[in-house]
Amino acid sequence: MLFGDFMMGARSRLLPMSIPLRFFGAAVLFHMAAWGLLLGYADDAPGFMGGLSHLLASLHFVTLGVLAMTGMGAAFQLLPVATKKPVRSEAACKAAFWLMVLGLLALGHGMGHGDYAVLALGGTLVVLALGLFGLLVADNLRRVKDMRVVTDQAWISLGFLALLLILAALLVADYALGGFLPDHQAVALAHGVVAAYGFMGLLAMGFSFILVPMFCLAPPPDVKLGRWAGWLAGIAVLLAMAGLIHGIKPLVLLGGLLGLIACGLHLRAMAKVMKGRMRKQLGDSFRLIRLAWVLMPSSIIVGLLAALGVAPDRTGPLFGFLLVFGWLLTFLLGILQRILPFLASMHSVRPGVKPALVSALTADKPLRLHLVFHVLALALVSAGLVGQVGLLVRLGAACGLIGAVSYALSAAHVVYVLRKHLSNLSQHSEK
Amino acid sequence: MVISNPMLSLDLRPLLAAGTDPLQGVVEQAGRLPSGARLELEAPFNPLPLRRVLGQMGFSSKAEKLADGHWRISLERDGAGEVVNSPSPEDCRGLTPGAPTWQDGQGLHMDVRGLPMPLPMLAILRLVGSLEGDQTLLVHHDREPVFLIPELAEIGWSLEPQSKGAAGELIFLVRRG
Repeated sequence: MLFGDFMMGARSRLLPMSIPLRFFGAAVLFHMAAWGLLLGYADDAPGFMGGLSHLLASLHFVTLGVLAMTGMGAAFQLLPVATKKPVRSEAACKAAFWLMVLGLLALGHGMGHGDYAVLALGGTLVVLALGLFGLLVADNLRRVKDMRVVTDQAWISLGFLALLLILAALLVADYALGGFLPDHQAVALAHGVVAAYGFMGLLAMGFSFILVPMFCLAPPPDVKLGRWAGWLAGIAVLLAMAGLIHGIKPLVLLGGLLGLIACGLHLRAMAKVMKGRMRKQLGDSFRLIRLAWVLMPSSIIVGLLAALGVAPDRTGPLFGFLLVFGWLLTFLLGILQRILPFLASMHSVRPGVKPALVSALTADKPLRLHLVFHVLALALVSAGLVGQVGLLVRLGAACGLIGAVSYALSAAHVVYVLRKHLSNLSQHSEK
Repeated sequence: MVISNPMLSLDLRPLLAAGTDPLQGVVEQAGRLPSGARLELEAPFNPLPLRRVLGQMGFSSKAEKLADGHWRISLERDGAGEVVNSPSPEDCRGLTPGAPTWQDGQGLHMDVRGLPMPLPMLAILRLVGSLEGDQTLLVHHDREPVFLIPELAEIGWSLEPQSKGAAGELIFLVRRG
């Protein structure tokens, strides 16, 4: 068997590096933009309860620009390798990327400047991008017969994607057509819960079942716990969404409590993985992932406090911040800093030549700097939101931006080392 | 499954000691056996890949360790093709359950087919970590282990595709360098 034949088989499922890289590159840029916007409009953050503003744009740069963008790149790249089923169309992946980038830029502009026409255009493009992504992933998942935990959570996540797109379209239409929703803010909050806990949360939980054991070299997680966590989380999000839209507080609280149980089951499964791991030194990426695991239930607890009416002008903004910048962003940055060098190494494999080493592709110093500034940012902004001190939010956002720039440098290092490695290989083969 | 009075008995130990792969010969002879027939094999190890191939031909099998370096595999062509494992420290070498290892003329083998992700990677890295000198490992896999290559490179090992076996089996050589 020739090495070429082997790589042909693998490459039929491993997309060209340029496809995941464009998603990850865009995520790195939107990461900086999100902190930058928060820095610029930090004084508006204390007491922020939603509505068209630059802060809303910043929030969407994280959820769509960083989280969804990375989720799309990772799903297109890793899901086919894990499921052994190739992505149906590379062109569709590229189309989803451009729709997403252009849509998100328009959406950010529309939100920041209250421009309804641009907002509607951006929203439509993002809905198309995520719809296309959902179809491609669903096509892959329906051909998989095993991996029930991952596929269960991915299916639930896709269901929530459809729901969140409907809610998002309603919200944009409500702005553009002059307000037909009886309670815009309630629908907006339900949209946020479905997007963050339903779509992205379940996607993150599903990916954890593949990536966490792989990165820390551990046996696969407990399937039973994982499936229970996925289904309970799904029910919790539905209950919370219904409660928020119809103004039924007990339903919201029940959803929150079920969400906490689901979170506990997921963390129990992850704790078992960590306990049985072969790799003991996990580095800074897992410091972020562990922090995210703490922030995951913390966000639900703060959300419950806000729902109970405990200082809602403080707990409300803190809930949104801990959920999006805290749990989801921190988890994703931890995972992404492992995925990027790993994928680059996988793509540098050539017959008879050592691939680029993951250790050489990992820029430790910028990543350490990012870790320090990201944690500082979380602490300062949280303190600013609780204490309603704009200056603390501004300082925190500045730390976040410094961290985001360091993160971008580490991503640029991966691309530089990979290109150098491939260039050396091509020069070697020409000789 | 109770097996007695085998219709055909084959001792594979002399062939293996001479460095000859008996798989093809056994498959040919087993293929001529009628439904319900019994086959007994004597081998220096538990030949799980051979049992899996025979399982696809409708032979159920059970392995029994008689002594160090002496295994008896009892097979019956009952159509079920059930491969009953006989776990023992020798069978798994105390590494990853479900990933048997064995030694033959070609060297050390490990079969990781059918294991859920990331157990194949884990099993291979664990075994590789225990190898000495120029020892190599032949891995029997059911997919191209793209995630394994960066991990092996990091510890100074590499992976080379060798051949395709039965029913989608892929064989890789893992070695230093």
